[in-house]
Amino acid sequence: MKNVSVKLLTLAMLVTALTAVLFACVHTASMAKKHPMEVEKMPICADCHSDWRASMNHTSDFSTRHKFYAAQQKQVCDMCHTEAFCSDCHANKEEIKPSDKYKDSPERTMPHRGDYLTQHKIDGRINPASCFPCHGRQNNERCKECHK
Amino acid sequence: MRIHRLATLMFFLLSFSSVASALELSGQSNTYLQSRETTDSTKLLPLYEYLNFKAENLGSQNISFHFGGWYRYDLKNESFGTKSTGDLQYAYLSYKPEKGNAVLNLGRLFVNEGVASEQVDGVFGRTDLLGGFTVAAFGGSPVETDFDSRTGDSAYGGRISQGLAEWYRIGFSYLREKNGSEDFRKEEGLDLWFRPANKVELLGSSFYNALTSDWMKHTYFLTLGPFSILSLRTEFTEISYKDYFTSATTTAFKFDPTIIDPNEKLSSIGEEVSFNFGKTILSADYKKYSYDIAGDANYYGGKITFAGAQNIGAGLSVHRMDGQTDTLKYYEYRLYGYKKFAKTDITVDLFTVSYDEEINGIKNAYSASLAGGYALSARARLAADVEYAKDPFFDKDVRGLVKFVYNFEIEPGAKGRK
Repeated sequence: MKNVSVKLLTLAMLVTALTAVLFACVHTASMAKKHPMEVEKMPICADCHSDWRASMNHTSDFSTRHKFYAAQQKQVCDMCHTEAFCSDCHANKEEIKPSDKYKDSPERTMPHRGDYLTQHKIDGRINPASCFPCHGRQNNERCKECHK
Repeated sequence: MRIHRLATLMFFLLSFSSVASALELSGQSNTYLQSRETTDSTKLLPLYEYLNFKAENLGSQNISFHFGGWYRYDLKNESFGTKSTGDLQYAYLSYKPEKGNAVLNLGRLFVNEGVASEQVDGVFGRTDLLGGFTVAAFGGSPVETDFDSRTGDSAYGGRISQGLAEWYRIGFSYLREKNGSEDFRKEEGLDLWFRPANKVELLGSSFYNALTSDWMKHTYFLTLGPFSILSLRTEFTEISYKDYFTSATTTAFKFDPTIIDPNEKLSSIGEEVSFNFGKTILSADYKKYSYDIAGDANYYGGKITFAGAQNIGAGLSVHRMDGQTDTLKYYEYRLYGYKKFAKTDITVDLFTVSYDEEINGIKNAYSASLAGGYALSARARLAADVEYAKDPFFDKDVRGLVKFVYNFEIEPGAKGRK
């Protein structure tokens, strides 16, 4: 057991040292902390960019794909959005539905519009995995009122 | 206890900021007063305060502090069994050097790297390396629903990726979470972004459960276009229930075999075709859900949206869910519109679901909301909405919400949050 710990510690130190060396050799500048131009809601990035950034177009289906961009390059998201933009929906504990917070933004794709007490039983049977990322391990204290 | 933590953090920040010479502070306060009834007709009047801010230039241009949290106090009766409660959403110190997109965060933070989409009290770091490589790592105590205390719980993992900015990026990620001394999750992930041509993009991920030794989920999107006015999007998903739902902290995902078989496997394929006529977009979509054990279901429909500059917009959508059982057969309709004037805005939203089979004696559930807002100043906005609904659980349900939004910043000229 002690040998395994020593090996793991050694490996961690080597990886850290290698990362430090490779980082020291990187000469690329970081992305701007803020987008140089203030963009309005639901921007079409391709209006200005013809390279990879065009794929970030906030079209009406972007909400279904945004998790992949965020999981690969969150620093791009951070140029326009603060952390609070994410935590409006992605929270460990939340009591107000996002669609209730933003009734004045109907063009945004917000889950749980209308009567979701009835609809969640239907959605849960069709694809329970769509509930799991937000309510599997977090934000499920209210689920326990019925799912004991 | 959480409030004490919040107060301590605030004190820490303010103390720290007092010695910082060029502090830039910006954030937003959202105050909500909600009026609603529970299913047993108990009237509730909860008052919420959501506060978020970031403090930049903390002694260095590369150091910042980020905070988000909320607190609720009930003015009438008790929501969810408590008179008051709150949550610390995030609070972390961040160091971002000028090169390599490097970042080091410390505190309560959200990690989103490949298979990991976690909130932890801990540390996170990432950086670009030579040869198009990037590396990220995190570790800490997982912030999850507290089902058996967090004592001894830990989560750690990382992601390594390689790519060429214009063409592709492929990433491999790992996550391990322990509940006390027991393995709670061991997950591995593969994520892909591939753009072989200007109007072709493949995006997705595959996650593997190392505890059950099988794939949990595959999700991929293929986007083609826009070709003149036409865009196409294809979506494919495959989920193995016995491998995907192993780490739930609620019994809602411990399936009753008489309703959902825990060994079910779901695959879905969908297609969306969109025609963009400038301010108007017309689209049709179809999604087929196929189950190994239960029958199939089809969801299809169309929508038309109009967005004129920044001050007017509307949308109409009609969808049909056609499942094998009567409870999975319904029509869904939505109609909305908004108009913004100089300082005032108004929004109308109608949402209806028509079930083939009555639920609690109700065949048509609907909700209608009317929202209005007024910009008191460049920083402050007051808004209110009222929603009327009739559905299987509520008869003539009326809900209201008043919100006051205030943006603040210390450094003149800094932009508020989006």
